[in-house]
Amino acid sequence: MSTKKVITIASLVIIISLIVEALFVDHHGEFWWQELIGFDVIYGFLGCLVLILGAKTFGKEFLQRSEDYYAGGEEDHD
Amino acid sequence: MTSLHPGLIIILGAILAGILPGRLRQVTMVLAPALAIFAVFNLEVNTVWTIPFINNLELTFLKVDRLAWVFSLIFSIMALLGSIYSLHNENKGEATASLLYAGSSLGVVFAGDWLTLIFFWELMAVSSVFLIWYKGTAQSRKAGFRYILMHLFGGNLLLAGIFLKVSAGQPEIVSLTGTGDAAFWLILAGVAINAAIPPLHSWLVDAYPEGTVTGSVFLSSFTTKVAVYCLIRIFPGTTMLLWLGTIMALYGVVYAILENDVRRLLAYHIVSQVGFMVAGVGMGSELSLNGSTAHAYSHILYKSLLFMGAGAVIFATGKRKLSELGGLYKKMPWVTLFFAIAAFSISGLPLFNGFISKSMIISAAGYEHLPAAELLLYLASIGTFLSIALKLLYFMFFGEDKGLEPAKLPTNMYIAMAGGAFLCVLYGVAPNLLYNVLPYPVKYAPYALYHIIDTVQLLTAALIVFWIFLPKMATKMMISLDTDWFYRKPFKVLIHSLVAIVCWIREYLAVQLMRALKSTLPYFANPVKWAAQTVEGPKHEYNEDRYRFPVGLTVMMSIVVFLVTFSYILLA
Repeated sequence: MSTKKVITIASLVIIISLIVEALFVDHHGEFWWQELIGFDVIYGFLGCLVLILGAKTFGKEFLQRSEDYYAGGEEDHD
Repeated sequence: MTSLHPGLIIILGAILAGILPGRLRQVTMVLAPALAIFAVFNLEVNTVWTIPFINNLELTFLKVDRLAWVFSLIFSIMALLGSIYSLHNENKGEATASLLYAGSSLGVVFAGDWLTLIFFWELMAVSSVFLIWYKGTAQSRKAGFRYILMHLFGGNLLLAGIFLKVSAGQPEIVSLTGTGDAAFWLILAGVAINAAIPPLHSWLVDAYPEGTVTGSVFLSSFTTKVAVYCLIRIFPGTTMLLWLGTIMALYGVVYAILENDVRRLLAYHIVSQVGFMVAGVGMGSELSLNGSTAHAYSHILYKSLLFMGAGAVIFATGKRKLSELGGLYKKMPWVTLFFAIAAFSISGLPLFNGFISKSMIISAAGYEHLPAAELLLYLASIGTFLSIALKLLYFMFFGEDKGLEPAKLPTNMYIAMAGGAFLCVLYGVAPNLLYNVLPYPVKYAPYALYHIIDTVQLLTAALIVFWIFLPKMATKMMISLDTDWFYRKPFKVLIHSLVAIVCWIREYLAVQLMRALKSTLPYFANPVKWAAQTVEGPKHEYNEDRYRFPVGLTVMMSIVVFLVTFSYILLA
């Protein structure tokens, strides 16, 4: 599926869910943000963004090594 | 006794599976867990069986309460599914190891006293390592050694704590929450290693991807969840666990985003999912403890299904790296379907079993007024959806077709996966089946409208971001460093240098000792040498006794022994 198609369908789902939320959902959250309509859309979007960018940056800067890092050319020999 | 100990039934099955040939072994592998499930249903809550032990101690080898019952049920079900999945496996040893591992997990669950617990705990470690070693590669052998060393270390910490408990006259397993003495910390550390709480988690992501295809299904189900069970039993409401669990949940997803090895990615999600459970234990409310129990139950089902699906792909294609896989849905449609069901379950999509259990823990964080924990666990759920339902599913089964020709899978693999998928959906649509057997009464409605709407919004938004970043999500042929780096790199150098130093000292001492012997022994062989040589002695004939070392040595040893004995008598 093309990116455009996926995003269109996903956006439609979100819009419908927002309408349903605004009309039918009786909010009774523990925190103020649970009262906001569409908070989860924003949190999902930003959260996902932060996770991807954060993990990729962190990985690139600190964590990732070539696959034979531990082997050093000897691991697979008996 | 109206029933039998389910763990002992499976352990008996393990022994028979190692002896019996071909078809009979397969029958045993299915029959033993099936009988265990039957035995679990026959066990009544509050049953206690004891046997006498040394020093007037009694071993409570079976003690059933609601918590133990629900865990024993899922472990028995899992033993059955895992056995069916591995029926085609010709390796008798592996059948024995996996059943022994499952049986000893049940032993821990039913243990009523510390000594029974540590016995089965160590049996689990020893039997499970074979599921890694049977892979037979140099890599798996090394990973297995790191795995068993870590577990023996954890087992020893636990044992030390148990010694303190038992010698203080408290052999029964009780909640240690709030005690904070040495036994508390030792037992907590021992259990935390098995629960894979960072930084003690690296054995898991190191070893599980190296196990056999069938063995990893067992591995993914038992050790960490037995540890969660022990945490619920021993440390409910220990606040530290709330934060450790929340960190765990995020730690796992961050690494999973980077990971390229399919089963290692899944292993990082064990860390993440167990994080939810550990956080639930830390909150300590009835809802959160129910949530941890329910989530362990759901997790065993969908995570084993994920490992079965990934194992099926590895079995059929021989590839284990995400960057080498792709486009398999046409050739493996059923595996794709089962894997998708498991992926949707772990992501907590409504109608799948992850939804009914994970939401309990997150809601409990809300009710306990823990905004940070609630939001961070929520973030971790986004990460789970991102790297399993989107990344793994997409790059393994869809995405670029790598033209792989998968081999045919044995039927028993399909049966096991279908069974797991059925249970994931069953508990998803009928949550009360699970809620009714949880330790505390449940007044929780997962299918409230706002709950469903929230989840749909959260995950759809994540889907959009994933699709925007799709080209960037493909993983590289890289590994990510984790805390096992400390014992695989600096620790290795440290050990090597220590060994070198000790070797040098030993060799130096040996050389010096030889030199000392060489210069003193002639005097014992020929005492005349003691006398001052004033004049040059006459040149005498060659006499071999003059130069005989052994004589000198014997004389010297006799004198030394005599002196030691004599001085002992004098001084004592």
